Amino acid sequence: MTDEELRAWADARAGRAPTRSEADALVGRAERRRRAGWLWWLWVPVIPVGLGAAAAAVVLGVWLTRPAAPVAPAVVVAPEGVAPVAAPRSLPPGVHVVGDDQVEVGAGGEVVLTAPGPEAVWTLTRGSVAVAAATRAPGEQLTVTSDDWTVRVVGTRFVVTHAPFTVRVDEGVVQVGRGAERWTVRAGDRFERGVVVRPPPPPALPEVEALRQQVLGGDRQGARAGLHQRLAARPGDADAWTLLAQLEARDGRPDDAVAAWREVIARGSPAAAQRARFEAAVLLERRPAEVIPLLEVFLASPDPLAAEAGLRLGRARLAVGDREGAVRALEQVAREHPGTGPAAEAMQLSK
Amino acid sequence: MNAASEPDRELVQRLRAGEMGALGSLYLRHGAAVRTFLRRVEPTLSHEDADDAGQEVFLTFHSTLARYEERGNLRAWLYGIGVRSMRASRRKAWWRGLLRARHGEGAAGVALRRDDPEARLGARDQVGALLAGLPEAQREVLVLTALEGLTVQQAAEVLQIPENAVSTRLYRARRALGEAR
Repeated sequence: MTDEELRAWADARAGRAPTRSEADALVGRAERRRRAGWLWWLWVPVIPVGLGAAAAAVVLGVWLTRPAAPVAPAVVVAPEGVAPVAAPRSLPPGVHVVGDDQVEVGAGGEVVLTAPGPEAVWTLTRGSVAVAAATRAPGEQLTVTSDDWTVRVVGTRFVVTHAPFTVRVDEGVVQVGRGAERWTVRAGDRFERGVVVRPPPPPALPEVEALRQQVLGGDRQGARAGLHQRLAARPGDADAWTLLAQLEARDGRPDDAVAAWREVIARGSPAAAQRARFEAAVLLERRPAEVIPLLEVFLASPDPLAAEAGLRLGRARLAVGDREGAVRALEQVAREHPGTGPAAEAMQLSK
Repeated sequence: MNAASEPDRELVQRLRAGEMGALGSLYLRHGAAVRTFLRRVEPTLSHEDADDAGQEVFLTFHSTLARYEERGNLRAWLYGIGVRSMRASRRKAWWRGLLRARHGEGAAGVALRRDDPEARLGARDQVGALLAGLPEAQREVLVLTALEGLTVQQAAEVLQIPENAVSTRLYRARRALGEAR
């Protein structure tokens, strides 16, 4: 039986994808089994159960009515060598720590700390400022002003630019105001020219697991397209290369499969690369000159498939006329894996 | 994040916390793969039998959730449950009788004609019969590694046997199938 026949059979044995109603039925069955699992409680004497339940209720009540713990403010750690400064003062370009906040004034920029304390006001006179503001307690706030613009925050990370006035929020939410007008700018948003702009999200890449499901569902072309899309964006994704190699091998395209396995060898973990060498060597059986370097590297590390790999290496060397090298590999298989099938075959071949 | 893109680990954590909907999400995600695996490791299994057996795998996974260690591949863990479930089924007398009734005693050793497309189509059942004729231990290893893409190490974890035993069984299975050319 050939590998192609085995794969054709395997494809024909693909199972059906569960439907939502089947999933709901499964959840229902699991719920019933779980409930049934608790029936043994009926055998427990009633009085101890009642006492235990009462005690548990008391403990629960005490726990539920405990005073709420105060929320600790987030801590911004100062970069090494940056000393905290006392407000109010003018901050030149560079990184500064003011209280628990971290401020990075851009080149050519200036920030004046016009009001210290719990309702701090910083004035951006020129350039831009990036702020990692610590979480404020109720009643406290930080305001950044720039001309007639104001930015109020309660714990966030954002960048304000003086001219043209823009705000980019990296974390949390800030409120931008001018006069009576107010704009809420959330993480990922940018405020510019008086409007909040949300940049379009980058197109989501298909996950390898979802693509594997697609293969199992029979949509190989779709899966292949998804894999190429993913690999164009993330060429270092060894899992995607592995799935592509398996897909190409299944579809009877050994050259493409070998090319994908070579990517796994170059980019994957040592274990993934080791497996890729073996798989590529199996696919390249009819090109022994290419098999030899793959298996020589493969056999340099201990592996459960070493016996079979050694046998394949011996065969490949025989095929290219390297009888001496072949005998060496075959004798090594016979010596290191006695009693195994590959060893028996290696002994026969080496005679 | 919706359930479709939620990592397995987080779905399992939700399931541990008693959120049963997570079991349904895991079933929708891995159900087809488990059913496929069961139909390959047990070549006599019909779609309907595989659907039922697949549900049992997930029910067993739920009832033994405390034993699941989130360090490896969830699918491999489900395959392990599936392997043990199939073995248990095979131990039943009615199951053995079904196998004999469907494939007869001499199912193995069928020669295939590779040059004839029609024979190739018909050969699929013969391949199944050939696999059904392999010893269970060899068939499991072959399906896990050659068809499901698990590494030798992962297959060893699924079957709870040493890696060397996996490679030996794999070699024997390949050899047995090769001799049927």
